[in-house]
Amino acid sequence: MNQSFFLDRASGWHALHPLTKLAVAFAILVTAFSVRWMFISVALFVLVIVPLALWGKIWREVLHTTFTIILPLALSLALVQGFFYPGARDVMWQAGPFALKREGLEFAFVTGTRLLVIAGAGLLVVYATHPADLALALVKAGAPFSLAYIAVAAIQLLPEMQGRAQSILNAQQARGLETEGSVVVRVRAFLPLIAPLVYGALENVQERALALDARAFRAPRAKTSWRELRDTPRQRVVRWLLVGVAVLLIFISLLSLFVFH
Amino acid sequence: MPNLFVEQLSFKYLHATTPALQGVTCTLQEGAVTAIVGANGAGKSTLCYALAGFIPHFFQGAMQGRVRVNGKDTKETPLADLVTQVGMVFQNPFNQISGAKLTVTEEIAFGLENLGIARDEMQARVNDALDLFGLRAAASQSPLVLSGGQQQRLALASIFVMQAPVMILDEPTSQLDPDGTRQVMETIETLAAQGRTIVLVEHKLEWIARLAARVLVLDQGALVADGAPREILERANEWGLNETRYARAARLARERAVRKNDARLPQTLEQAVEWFQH
Repeated sequence: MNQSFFLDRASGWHALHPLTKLAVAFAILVTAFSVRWMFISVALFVLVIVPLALWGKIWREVLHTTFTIILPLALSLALVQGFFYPGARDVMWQAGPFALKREGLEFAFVTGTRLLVIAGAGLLVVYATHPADLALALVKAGAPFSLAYIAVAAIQLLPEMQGRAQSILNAQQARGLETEGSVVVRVRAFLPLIAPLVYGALENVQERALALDARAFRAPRAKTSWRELRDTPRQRVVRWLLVGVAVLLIFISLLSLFVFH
Repeated sequence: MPNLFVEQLSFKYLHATTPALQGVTCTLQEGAVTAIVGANGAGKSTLCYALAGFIPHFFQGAMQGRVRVNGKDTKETPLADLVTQVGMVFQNPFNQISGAKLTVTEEIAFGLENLGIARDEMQARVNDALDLFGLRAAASQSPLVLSGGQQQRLALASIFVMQAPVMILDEPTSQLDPDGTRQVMETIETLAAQGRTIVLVEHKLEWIARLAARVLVLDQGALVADGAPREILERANEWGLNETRYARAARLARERAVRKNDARLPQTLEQAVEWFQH
C-alpha cells in the first residue's frame, strides 16, 4: 500500500519549485471560477491539466482519481439539479410529474466541471510534490510552521486513516455487519465506522502532540532543513506572472459583478 | 553525579479528584538504567511527564515540589530548552511518527531541523543513529511501512540524535510483539552500555531484571520502594505486579520442597541457573 499521495517520478513538472506548482494550480482555479463561459473548466482540464499531468508522468493517476471522485458527484448533481433546479422552465424531457430542465443541467455541468478542475489541479500538486518540500516551501514563503506541518501531515496520514477505516470495516464485517451492496447498505455501514475511527484518532492526539513537543516542534528558533529546494529566477518570474494574472481575473470578475450588473 | 533530582513532587491533574503523584523524592543515577514499576494508575507515566517537563508545561494541574534535570528546574525552563536535556519516548510507535516525512532518514532528522542544527552536523548524527538502531536497511523506506519494533526503534533514534543526556522511556514495548520487544530492549541495552541515563517504565519485569541498575516502585502516586532489581522484584506480588517466570519457578520449587534454597529468588536466566544449581 502506498503510504503517501506523492508519486516519485523523474519529470520536469516534479522538478519545479513547490510554489511554482501551487501558483499554477491557483491560476487554474481562479480562471475556472472567474471566466464566465460554461466550457472554461472543460477547456482548462483538457488543455492545461491533462498536458501537465502527461509532462509529470502522472496522467494515469490524475485521470483515474479525478474521475473516480467526480463522476458519481456529477451524476448526482445532474439528476438533482436537472429535475429540481429552482426557477428552471425549459423542459427537455418529462416523465409524469418529473421534468428534466435545461437550466438545471447547465448548472450541474458548470458545477461538475469546476469540481473536476479543483480535483485535477489539487492532484497535480500533491502527486508531484514531496510533502516535506511543500512544507519547507510554505515556511520559507512566510507561512507559520505549524500550519505547514498540519497541511502536510494531514495529506500524509490520510492513507493511514483509510487503512484504519478499512480495518474497522473488516472487523465489523467479520461480526456480520453488511458493508457491501446498495447505497443504503453502504450508508448504514458507514455510521458504525465513524465512532471508532474518530474516537481512535482523538485518543491519539495527545500522545502525538507530546511526541512532537519532545522533538522541539514548538522551539522558537530558526529551523534548518534536511532537504534542499531548487528555485530559479525564471520560476520566480513565472510565479509572479501567474499570481498577477489570477489577481487581475478576480478583479475583473468582481468589477463585472458590482459595476455592470 | 546524579543528573535528575525529584524533590517532594506532588501533582494533581486538572479536574482530577485524587493526586497522581504524592510527595515523590528521588535522585536518579547518571549513566544507568533506572526502572519505574507499579500497577496501572500508580503514577508512572505522570512521573515520566514531570521528569521530561511536560508537567507543568503541557499538562494542566496543581504541582508542588520540583524536578531538576542537569541543574535546570523544569518549572522554570521552557520545554523547547528541556528537550536537549531530557528526551522522551512514548508507548505507541505510530503516534511518534511526525507524518511530515517520507523516509526513515528524514524522520530521524525532524527533531534536529526543529533545533536548527546545521545540515552537515545533522547528516553525521543521523548516519550514526541509522547504524546504532539497526535502521540502515530501512533508511529510504516510509516510516509508516515499518514493523512496530522498527517504528519504536525509529522513535528511539529520533530522540537519541537530539543528544539529550537523559532518556525517559514510557512503556516503549507495550504495543509490541515479543520480537519487537526484544529489538527495542536490546537497543536500550546498547544505549545503557554507552552510558546514557535511562529511565524505563516497563511491565515486563524480566527485562527490568536484565537491564536496570535500580528499581523504583510507585503505588497510588507514592514512591513505596527503591532498591536493586533482585531485592525489589522479589516482592513484586506485594504491589500487584506479576513476578518473573524465574522467580515463580524458584518460589514453587521452594514451596513444594523440590529445592531447599533460602537465597534471594532469581530474576534472570543466569540467576535461575545459579539458584537451581545451589
